[in-house]
Amino acid sequence: MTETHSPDATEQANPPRRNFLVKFVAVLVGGVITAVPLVFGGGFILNPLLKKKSSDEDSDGFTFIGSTNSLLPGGPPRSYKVTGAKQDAWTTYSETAIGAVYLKMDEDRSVTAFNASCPHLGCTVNYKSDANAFICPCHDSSFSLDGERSNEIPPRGLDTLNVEVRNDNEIWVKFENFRAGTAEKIPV
Amino acid sequence: MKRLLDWLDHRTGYRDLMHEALNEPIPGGAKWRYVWGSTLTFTFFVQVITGFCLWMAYSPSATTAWESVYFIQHQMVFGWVVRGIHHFAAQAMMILLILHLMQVVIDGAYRAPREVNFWLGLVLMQIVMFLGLTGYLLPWDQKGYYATRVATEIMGSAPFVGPWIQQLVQGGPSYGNHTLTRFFALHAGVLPALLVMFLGLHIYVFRRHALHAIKNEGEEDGVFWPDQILKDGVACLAVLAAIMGATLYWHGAELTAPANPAEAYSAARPEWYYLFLFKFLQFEFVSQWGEATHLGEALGAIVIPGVLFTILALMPITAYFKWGHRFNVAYLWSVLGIAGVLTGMAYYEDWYADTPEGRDFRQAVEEAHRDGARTVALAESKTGIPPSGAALLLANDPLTQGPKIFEQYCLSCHQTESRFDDFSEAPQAPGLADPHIRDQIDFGSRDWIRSVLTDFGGHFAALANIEGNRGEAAEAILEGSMKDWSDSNAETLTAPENADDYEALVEFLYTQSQRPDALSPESEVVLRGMEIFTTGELTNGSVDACVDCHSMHPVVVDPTGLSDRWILADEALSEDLQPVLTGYGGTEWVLQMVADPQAHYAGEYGNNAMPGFADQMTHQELEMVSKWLAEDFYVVPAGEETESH
Repeated sequence: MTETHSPDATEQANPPRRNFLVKFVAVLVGGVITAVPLVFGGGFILNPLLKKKSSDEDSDGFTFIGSTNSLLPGGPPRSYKVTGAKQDAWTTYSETAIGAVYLKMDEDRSVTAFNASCPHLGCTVNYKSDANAFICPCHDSSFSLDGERSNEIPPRGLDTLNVEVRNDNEIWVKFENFRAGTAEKIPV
Repeated sequence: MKRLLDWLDHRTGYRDLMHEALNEPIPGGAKWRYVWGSTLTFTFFVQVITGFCLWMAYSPSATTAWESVYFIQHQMVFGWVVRGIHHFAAQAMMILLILHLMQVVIDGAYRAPREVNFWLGLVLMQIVMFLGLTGYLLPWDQKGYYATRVATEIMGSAPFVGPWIQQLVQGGPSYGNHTLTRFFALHAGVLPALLVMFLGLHIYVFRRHALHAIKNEGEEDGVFWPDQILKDGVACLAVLAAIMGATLYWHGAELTAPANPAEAYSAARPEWYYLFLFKFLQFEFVSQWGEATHLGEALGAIVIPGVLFTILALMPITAYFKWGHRFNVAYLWSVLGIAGVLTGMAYYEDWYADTPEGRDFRQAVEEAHRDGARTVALAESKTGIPPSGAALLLANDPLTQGPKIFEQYCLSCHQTESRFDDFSEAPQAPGLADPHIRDQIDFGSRDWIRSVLTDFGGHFAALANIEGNRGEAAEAILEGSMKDWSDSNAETLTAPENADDYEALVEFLYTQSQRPDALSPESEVVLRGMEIFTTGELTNGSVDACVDCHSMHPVVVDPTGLSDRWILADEALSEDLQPVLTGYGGTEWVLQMVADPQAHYAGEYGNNAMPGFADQMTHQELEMVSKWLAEDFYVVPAGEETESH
């Protein structure tokens, strides 16, 4: 057994002939052992893009929101919580908050529903009775009562939702979210 | 390009660094025996990659840890692969650590001037062992939960400060959310940071003293790049292949049932690299010494391992003495040898020994697998995992809980043939089901109904073993009117011309239980059965009508379509007669029968030989056992079974 201690021995050591093949194989092996964990890890991280969301097609997508008696014809819009079933990664909620809507009743008793998310960047808009308009607290997006934008901040008006009145006075809304920041209304 | 690299070199000096890193001379040339350090560094790199991935999907709390690991294992892209790699790479790291240590000690590489690096290596070994310990708990499954509790109880047994240390580690007096947050912070934050720090020092000091070379005569000197790097790379590739092989072979790491402090787990064992210590603590003499020295558990679990480790750490100093190096090598071999033997013993006793303990262990492991697979099946069912966590899925699952309750309260009287040997006393009632064979229920089956109808005396023969005040009632049942009915009508029922009618009667009764394979109340066979039940008229001859003695309110399909279950018809076929056969063999019937058999079965005047359990069982227990006996539990639809890992 011989021992070498001094790091200075580096310079004296006469390197043996380096052959290209050895280097090539070494790099190849190094590449493979690095790639394997990275590939599986990469796939794992890309899960949200690779895994299709399983949609539950059991219901027609409409959710009960409230009674028509809670609205006045031609009166101010009111805010309602939307609750429903939700799958959040591993948790299955049979009933949980999934969003908010504004309902408004016209003089002819027809009901309009808006998703309360601002189409600008997703904050929840407020109904301001003094301005008689929807105003977003984040960037001052402003909308008239029929949902049309009244300044240039949001790219489009408030998102309307399909409404049905069932059993005389039950308001059912097909609740959907739409991508923020685009002029078009694209469901997410 | 060249100018850019020149610029970069001028600003950073990277060429010197690369030169320093790659052109390390290796006296005597590259050798396979030098690869261990590199394989360990590589395995750590794998752990960092997979660990970061798992981190992105893991949630450390008592109601989300198991659930998020379940989601990783069963729902995410490459989830089981990434988790499997992380699990098996941890095992590989322990093996490589031992090999690295052996190589260093046998080659004498720990001696001056490399003492400090040897100690740094030992610190790294401790960090890796703690990483293993903390990681084992994170899935919050029965296996990790109970194994880790033993480890923290050992910490608590340390003299003087033990209880405080235990509370600090657990984040409180018992296991819970803060145990997980703390273990996770240690596992993913503190320990890896320490590991990187000490690994940096370890490599720095290693380079300072250069490789401890074993140079044989006539060998040419080599350089790290590419000769040794190639060997290191090939070794890493072999390690990776082993990890991937294990991952694919076992379909990733196991996930047993969610942790439940109320549910004993008789197969609690630490990871294999702690198994020697586990076995050591089982010896009686260890406990006796512990008591004699007033150290208790701490003697075997902390003091003795501590002394052994100290001798290991003192090796560089021992080596100064004559024969010191030889002592060290001999010491290492003996400690590893004894640990190996203890590990082997523990392994043999658990998995192969035909002893009561061995059998219990294997049974417990099997149950743990089964419960784990069952929880996964329930989680994948339509109900999914509720916000309150997956432990409730199993706690409210009749297939899991029913047999346990039955074993405790019911089996000693209702013995099945398969369990006769477990009891010294004779059965006092017909066998209903064997909790060990839980998906096969004899009670209320079609065979059961046939046997009651045509061989009542034989079916209930075990009642004759009842003594004391219930014995009289038992006797009356055995000599009662149903016995007479069975005796006098069996021949007519089983006559070949009446085969279809007999089947129809059985199906009608079976449908009342609403079991998964029961025929619809609207099916022709069941309707024909109802006719026979009401009139007793058969194709050839007749029997005494069942409605003459029994209440029967038959089930029909829910006309509103609101319920999947069948509902009771508007009108009963017969009322106010006992025994009640409405819903016979179904959940509600069984529940009434178990809770208060006298009221449901015999009324004021009839005979009942069974004690009521309403005041012994909770409502939840009654429900679980009844639903199990009535086969009222979730069954995985055929073709949807998933792998049970």
